[in-house]
Amino acid sequence: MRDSTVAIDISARSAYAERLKRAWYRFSRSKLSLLGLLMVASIIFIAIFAPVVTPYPEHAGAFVDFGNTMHPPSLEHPFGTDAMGRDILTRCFFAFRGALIMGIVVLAIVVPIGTAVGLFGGYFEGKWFSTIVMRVTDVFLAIPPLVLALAIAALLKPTLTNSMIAVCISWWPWYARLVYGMTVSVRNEPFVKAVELTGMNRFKIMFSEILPNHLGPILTKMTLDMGWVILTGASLSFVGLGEQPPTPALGTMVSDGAKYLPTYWWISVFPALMIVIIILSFNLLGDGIREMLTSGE
Amino acid sequence: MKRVFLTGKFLAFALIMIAVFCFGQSESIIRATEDWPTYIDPAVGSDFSDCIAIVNLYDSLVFPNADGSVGPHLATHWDVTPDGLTWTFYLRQGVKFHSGNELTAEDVVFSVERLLTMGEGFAYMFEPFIDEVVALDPYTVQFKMKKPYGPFLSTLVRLYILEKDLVLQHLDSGPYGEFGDYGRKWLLEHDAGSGPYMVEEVKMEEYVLTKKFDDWWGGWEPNAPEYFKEMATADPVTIRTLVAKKELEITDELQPMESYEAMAKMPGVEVVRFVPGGMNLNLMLHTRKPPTDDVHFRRALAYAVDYKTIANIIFPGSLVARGPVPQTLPGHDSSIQPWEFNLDKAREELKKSKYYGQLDEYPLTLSWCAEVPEEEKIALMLQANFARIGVKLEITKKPFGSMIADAQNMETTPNCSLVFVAAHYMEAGGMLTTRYHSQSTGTWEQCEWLLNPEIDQMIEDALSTIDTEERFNKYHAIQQKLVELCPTIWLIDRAETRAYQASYVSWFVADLVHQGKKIALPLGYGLYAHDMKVFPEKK
Amino acid sequence: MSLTKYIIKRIVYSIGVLFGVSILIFVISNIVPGDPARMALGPRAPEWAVEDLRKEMNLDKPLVERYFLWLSDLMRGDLGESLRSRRPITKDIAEYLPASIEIIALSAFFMAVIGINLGRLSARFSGTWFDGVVRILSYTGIVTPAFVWAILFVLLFSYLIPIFPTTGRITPGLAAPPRITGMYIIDGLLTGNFRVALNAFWHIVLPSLALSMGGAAQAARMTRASMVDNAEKDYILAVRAYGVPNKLIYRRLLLKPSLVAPISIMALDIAALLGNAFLVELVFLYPGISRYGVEAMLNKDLFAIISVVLIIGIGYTIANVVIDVIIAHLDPRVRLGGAKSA
Repeated sequence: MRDSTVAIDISARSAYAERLKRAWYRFSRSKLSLLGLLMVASIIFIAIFAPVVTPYPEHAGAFVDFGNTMHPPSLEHPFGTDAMGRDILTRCFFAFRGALIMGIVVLAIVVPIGTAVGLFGGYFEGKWFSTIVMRVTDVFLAIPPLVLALAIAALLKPTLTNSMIAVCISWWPWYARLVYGMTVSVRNEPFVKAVELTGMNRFKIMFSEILPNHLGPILTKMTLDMGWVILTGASLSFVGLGEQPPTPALGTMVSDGAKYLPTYWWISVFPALMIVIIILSFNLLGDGIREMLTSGE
Repeated sequence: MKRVFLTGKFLAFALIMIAVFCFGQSESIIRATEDWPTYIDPAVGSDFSDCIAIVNLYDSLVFPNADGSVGPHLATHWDVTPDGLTWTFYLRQGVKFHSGNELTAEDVVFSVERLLTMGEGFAYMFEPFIDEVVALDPYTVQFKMKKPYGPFLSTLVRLYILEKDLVLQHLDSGPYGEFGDYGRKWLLEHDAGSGPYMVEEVKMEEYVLTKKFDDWWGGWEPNAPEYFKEMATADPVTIRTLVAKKELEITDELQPMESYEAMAKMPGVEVVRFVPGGMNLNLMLHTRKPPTDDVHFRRALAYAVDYKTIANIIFPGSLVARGPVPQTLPGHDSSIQPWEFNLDKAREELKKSKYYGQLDEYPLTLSWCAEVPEEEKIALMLQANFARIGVKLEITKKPFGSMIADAQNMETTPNCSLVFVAAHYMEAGGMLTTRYHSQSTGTWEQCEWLLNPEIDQMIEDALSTIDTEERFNKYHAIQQKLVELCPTIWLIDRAETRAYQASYVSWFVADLVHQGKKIALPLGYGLYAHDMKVFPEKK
Repeated sequence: MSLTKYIIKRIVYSIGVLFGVSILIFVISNIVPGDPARMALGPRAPEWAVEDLRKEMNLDKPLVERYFLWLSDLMRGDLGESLRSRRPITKDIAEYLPASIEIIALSAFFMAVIGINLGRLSARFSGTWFDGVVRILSYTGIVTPAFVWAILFVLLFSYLIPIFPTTGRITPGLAAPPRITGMYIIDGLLTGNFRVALNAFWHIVLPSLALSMGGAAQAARMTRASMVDNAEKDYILAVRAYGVPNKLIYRRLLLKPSLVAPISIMALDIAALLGNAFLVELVFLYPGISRYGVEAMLNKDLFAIISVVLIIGIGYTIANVVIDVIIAHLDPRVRLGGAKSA
């Protein structure tokens, strides 16, 4: 792990290319990781090009057709239609957008905050302000994240933005804890002590010397978390706290369809399957990345 | 692996045992579903769910007939002075409360005072009119009015009599001076009534179980249900399962149409559909919040609604509304025509509105009630309808509790609220008061914030008119004025649909439907268990 | 550090954290707008009654003072009144909490029994078809959310093969057993109402199974991995060389040391379980504390929300302490190394 500070090669660029190549080799050894990558890529592709790849893009908006309700899966409607006569496949694919936005935005906010808190707390471990910061983190960790997110989302207006805020508030402590642990364990390593002797600014030490060592585990956790964040978002919308209609959300679709079980099973089963597929994809990819980062040592 | 298999065998055995044990049982019970909350205190409750319990637990001075009129009940007869200011009621003798004590005029006085002091539930019907109640003797009670009250007799079906002594024994601390909480806490889970059924058990959020009161003064016919249970669920899956297993006799009216269709196919189950005398579905428009504060904008919306789809497909059997008052309610103005679905006229009106050309800046907000899944279809349809005239509608699903909270203040009330409203007593005046009198702003029954002094004046004037014909003419004028103001888009007069176990239950409402009779029963009285019969052996 | 000292330290620390939790949730829920007093009494109540209640609920005082008043009430066992049920929250909780404890206890049981046994067998038969099936199953278990399991189970075992009930706690019409603990199964057994006990058990099988799937899968995976790891250690190879049967080795020698890993991730599983219970109880319309919590949240029933979150926090914290203690017991390095929960 320490080679990032030592490897100041003359041909840094080719070394970098070489490492990338090796990493890809390690990653691609596993068929499952490749499958995960492929699936994640397809999900992103479908989300971006939803209006083009779905058969009835207008069904994702303000649309009702009471003449075509509750059709079972057929060639015309592969996932069937719902109680408003809308194509479920179309709505599932459009729902990928909200799901991905949820995952990306939440992680983009949570990872820097959590990492900064963890680094700070870990590097200054033992000092009073570090203690306070980490105790606050512990308080957040003492409530299961979904429960906290539900409570916060319920108190706010039900929108996608507010559900993202709720998930962010319940998610950052996990990164803080991860980075804190890792920082504490490298804080007294010789390479850190060495830089400290040069009189380098402490914040610079934290971010340019200690942080790079954590990037691997953070990246792995991020990839794995994509799926879990999306699931938390889906859980909120399952309860009715999230994206509001007509914008499709997978959780909402599952809970709406549950009313019509068992006769009209397709209304909730296909969106549920989509949630599973999203989580599965990011998990496979995450496992692949972990494999790639650890097996090289 | 052997242990796993052994465990498996044990589990299989256990499952069979459980299945054997858990077979249904036969007893004389009517179970009906309705959504929670159910407040069984007659000074607190006023919703459908509350009324169902209350009408079975408590007696009132007069009782509603199926055609909308009222007849004697606890009061055998009464008289009123020509100025309409003094009403005297003569009570039936020998009526017993569930405790065994006799009901007297003192209890009536206490019940009225309790209701008026607490000010909740149905108090609003009486508070502006009743000045004083006195017990002249144990069986005579006199109401002194502040001003004449035309529909007073009709409203009296909502005045339920509690046993004074029993309530006084169960006071808790509260804001009502010497009366503490007026027995409010205790009456959440107990009753102090004289009605045909008495509380056996109240399980919060689950059910209200009541047992036949054998000593009820009105007497009993054979096969009347021993128990009446109001169950707090409207979940379609549960309800279909319960009906299929014959563990639910009468369903609520909130089920999706697909569910009723499925239940109609079950053996012995019949789906009854009727337009009761007083329930309509309203799209309430906030008249104090842009852009729905503009009358032309509101009319534009009214022209942009596909009424027929709602009346024929979403709530089949319903009638397209004709004005603010349901058509079968006494006092409705039959000259009012329904709104038409005409996008050209809608666009014309829109051009006249001050928001024309800047519609994008004024998206409408709409809340619909999470407990009524069918409302989502309407909400989405409205969204699609309004989009065609360039109006953007943002819809939010809200639990009824949240809608009530939002309606309490002008800022939090959305532009549009999709709400079912029921007449509390069988005359247009009641509905006009709860819906459009300024006094009712802040309640979920008026999300319009109309605050129109002229309408208030007209309503008060009509209500103090004793002569029926004159009073009804005044109701008509109010309705016409309201159509002109267009504070609400009246969507449908709703058909109430319920599934029931026709094979072993005899239900008077179904009989009336079969006879093709009009039904104008106040909220809750359709489930008056005393008049039902159940034959458990026919299951 | 001795084990007792470690436990005491851990408990004291947890109490501190729980105080933090109470502040957090109290502040969060009190900064949202709304008038709980008006909501409690309903829109038609006279203003003076609302004003009185507002005073009674201390809503006229500043936030900090309100927190301490609430805290002193809490110490006296008073959690305030629910706006929805209109009665003391302690009463609501006494009714709903036991129902959830039943489900959670059964899921924890399923989680441990299914997870560890599958993992153990999968390790013993590693490389065979059985191992392959278990590995696929456990991956599926991990990536499928509990509420999806719930819906699938209802579809499969309540409709397709109707052996389990779809919803509720006991069959409607069946009377609840006399209350002792509030848990129907236990009360039923204690009072001789075996039919009720069985019926109640029959109702929680599917919800508990749905809740336990993720944790069981996780436990199976961890158990298998650490057993396979440990199986290559010298002492096991030595034992094997003596001709001790494989079955005995796996059951007697390998299991215990291999449990540290699955137990140490149990904390996360329990967090997931408590959270997922909110959705699963909703699917099964199960009258437990989580469903009560969801209803409270959706209806902005402030004191009920605070109470439910706090109770879940307490439950989770206790679970964490217990797990830490078990690990400290199994693996002394933890307590010697000056354990930190963060």
